[in-house]
Amino acid sequence: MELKLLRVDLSKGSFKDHVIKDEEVRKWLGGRGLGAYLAFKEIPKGIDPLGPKNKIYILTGPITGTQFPESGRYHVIGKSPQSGILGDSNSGGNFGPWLRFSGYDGIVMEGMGAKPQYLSIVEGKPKLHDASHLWGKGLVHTDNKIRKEMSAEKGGSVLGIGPAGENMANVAAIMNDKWRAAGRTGLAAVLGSKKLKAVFVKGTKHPEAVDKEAFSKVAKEKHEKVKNHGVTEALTTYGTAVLVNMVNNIGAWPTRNFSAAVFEKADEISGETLAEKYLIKPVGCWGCIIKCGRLVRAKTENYDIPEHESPEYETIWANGANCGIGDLPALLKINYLLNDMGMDTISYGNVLGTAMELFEKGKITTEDTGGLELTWGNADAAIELIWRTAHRDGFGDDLAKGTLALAEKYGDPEAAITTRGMGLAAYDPRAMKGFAVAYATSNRGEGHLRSYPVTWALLGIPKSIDPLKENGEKVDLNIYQQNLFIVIDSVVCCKFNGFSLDHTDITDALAPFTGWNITPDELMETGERLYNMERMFSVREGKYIKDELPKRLIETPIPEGPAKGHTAAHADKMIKEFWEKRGWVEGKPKKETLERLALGEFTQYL
Amino acid sequence: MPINVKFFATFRDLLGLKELELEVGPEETLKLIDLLERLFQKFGEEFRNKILENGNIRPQVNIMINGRNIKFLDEINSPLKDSDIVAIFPPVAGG
Repeated sequence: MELKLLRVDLSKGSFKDHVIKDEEVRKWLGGRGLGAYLAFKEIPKGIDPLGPKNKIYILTGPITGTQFPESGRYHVIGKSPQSGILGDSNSGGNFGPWLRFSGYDGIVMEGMGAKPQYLSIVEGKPKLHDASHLWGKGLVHTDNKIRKEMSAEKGGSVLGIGPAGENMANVAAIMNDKWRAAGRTGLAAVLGSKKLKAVFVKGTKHPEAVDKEAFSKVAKEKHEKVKNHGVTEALTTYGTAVLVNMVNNIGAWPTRNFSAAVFEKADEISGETLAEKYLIKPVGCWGCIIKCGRLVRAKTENYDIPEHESPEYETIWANGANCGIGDLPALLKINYLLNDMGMDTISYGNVLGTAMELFEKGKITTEDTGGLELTWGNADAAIELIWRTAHRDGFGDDLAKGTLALAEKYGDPEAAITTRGMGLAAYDPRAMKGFAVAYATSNRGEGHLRSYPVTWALLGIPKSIDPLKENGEKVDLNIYQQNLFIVIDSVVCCKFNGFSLDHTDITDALAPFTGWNITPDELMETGERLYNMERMFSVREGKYIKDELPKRLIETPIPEGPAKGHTAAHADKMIKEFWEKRGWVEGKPKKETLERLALGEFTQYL
Repeated sequence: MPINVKFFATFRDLLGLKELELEVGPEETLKLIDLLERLFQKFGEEFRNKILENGNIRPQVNIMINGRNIKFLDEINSPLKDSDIVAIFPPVAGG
């Protein structure tokens, strides 16, 4: 099969088609894998992520927008202004499938526009439009306005950036369908630097399998498998935030910028409470049967929040427990505003939690914050700073640069709980030991979606392993999932398939869709190839090559709860074992590893 | 001090409550399965079937005693004592 990309030169306002041949698709798949390969080849070493030589790849994959379950996603890749290495992020909603229906499997944004523009692709025809009237506007207005201009009340999809992306905040998120985010690594700032406000896609060209009958049969079987799996019911009923109480219960919920691991108000901001008080109905991405999204509305004494898609597990954690905020309506308000301003809810929670810690320590004062008391749990300050961060106003400019830059500026770099410059997610690796490997070895930094130790620590997939146990089996499982998840991000479907399906299921579907005589082993070797190739971007860049965890997690024990006294001192040993098993030295693939994986062209960069 | 039993996710809907307390006599030795049997008597067969399969805890049902999963303690024979907190979760997942 072939993938057709649209190359948009924003400097010249011109378009060019780029067809990725079958042989290349089989080697790099699509989405994250293909994007990383193209980024490596086309983005020169050492360039400014916010300069004209950076590119943004918005890609689907072979099975996006098909009958395969949970295939309504897309992936974004580019050099990250937050980390300075390869950045990427994935989003659901409707954009991925509609991009394919528009006649293209992906878009490459190149150069820099002189004025704000938005791109439309309708039935295979691309067009750039003036977007001066949308610059400075939030995502809700932008989506509504573009739909009106494109006469698209129904169908089609809008991807866009908000004021945070326009003002090139490192914490900015690419949004689509108003509430869905390719949030991590700050690639919205790159679109902002290119003055590309939005993309509208619509069309009727549905991707077709080589063997339609066989693919349809396989897709239906996999649907049943996902539908009947135990975790699906809980995700449908309570959304991703169903995990809040469980992770908190085992004492692994990072609290107040990782100074504790049990949050006393967890149940008040849990998926159960959200469903009980504010849920209108579950909503899903295109073609989704799980429907983990939540349509909510909240009207309380303090807040009146319109109907919108509610915060996910990670958002509730980052802005809740991580900042000491236990007020669910306040978190709904925070989520609504962050989405509308186009900001990554995790990165905002990361940087706010760090700022609150520094304020409590007296390293940041009200003189710095413009009078705001950044004490733990101050929801009003969290809400106020959203606008200031998106517009880089006063102290908001410090927050816009991200956790690491903030902690360094105020003289306490160890308060930045990051890997590769990216703030960590909602699991404490001192209490869930497998996350030490997951966070330290993730190519883009952070990494709760690069491998997912929750599956074996809490779900028994593929088997149950004590979260407090330190052993090599967790290294093996991290490697397996890193290879599997990059395949999922590259054929481009949802990782929630990963609870009920594995690489054999994806192979079953990929073979009839593409016509390839592919085996599960080849697919997993492809995953390994992609993971190694992705790492080579950092190797060539000479930045963030070595895998390591933040000092606080290695040295400071958890003060209370079921994991009291535990640290992540085990990380060093497990990381060394990881390198050995991957065929790497100090975070760098060996020459023979690259050659074994048909990556010989990359050995010159070692 | 009684044992505190907490229910989560779909179990809250099924049972219509978030938590309850079970008194334990001062000399009484109790295992998790004894506590579960008391709960099954109170809440009926549907709850039993959601928790047990062939006499064991169903895969992906998680029961924690003071935050430690019974899979890594002594399974259904894990001992209980005064003031313990037992948390019972149906299959959940997130991200």
